[in-house]
Amino acid sequence: MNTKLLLPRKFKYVGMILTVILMSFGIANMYFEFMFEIYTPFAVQGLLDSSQPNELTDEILGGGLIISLMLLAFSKEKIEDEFVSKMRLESLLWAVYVNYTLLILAFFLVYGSPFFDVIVYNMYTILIFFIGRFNFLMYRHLQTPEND
Amino acid sequence: MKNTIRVQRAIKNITQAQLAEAIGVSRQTINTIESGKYVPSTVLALKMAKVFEKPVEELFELEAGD
Repeated sequence: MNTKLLLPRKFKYVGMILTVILMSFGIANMYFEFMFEIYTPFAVQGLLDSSQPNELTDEILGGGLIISLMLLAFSKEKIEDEFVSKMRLESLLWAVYVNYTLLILAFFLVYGSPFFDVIVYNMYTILIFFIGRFNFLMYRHLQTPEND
Repeated sequence: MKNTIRVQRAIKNITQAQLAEAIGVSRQTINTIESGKYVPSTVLALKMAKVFEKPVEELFELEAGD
């Protein structure tokens, strides 16, 4: 089985821990205005912004959460055989469908500044839906009774 | 697609777990193949044929509608 694109299994646990930590900080940042108050030591010319030192909470939480979700999503299972690969691909397809169906619904149902929240969540939901679906299928697969 | 893996296992007297180990998949995957839920790749089919020392056609058979 070709598993070149998957990470070693131990990354799954690293991803799990980092996801819980960064998600907690992320929620604190979104709803309680939590900031790390870490600034770049020099002025940063953003693509569109004027030049000034940049506070790094968005970069740390946004980048960190995506990386930890990817670790969680794309590390190998204990036995990574071709049936597992099939479930992996099907879950990814499922996640894309669900994610964009919900986004289209949100276009029609959410207006104004709450839509900003939708955009923020949507950056992560595709990975979250994939992780949920794949782990559910994996759990069901491993429950298959011995049948001899 | 029909398969005779359960029968072939009985003839050889090996369990799902032993067959799984011999061809490098999980026991649960053998189960999904036996019950017809999953059609294995050619590589896996040939590996099974090797374990049972039978041609692949004796393990798998096309059905009407395939």
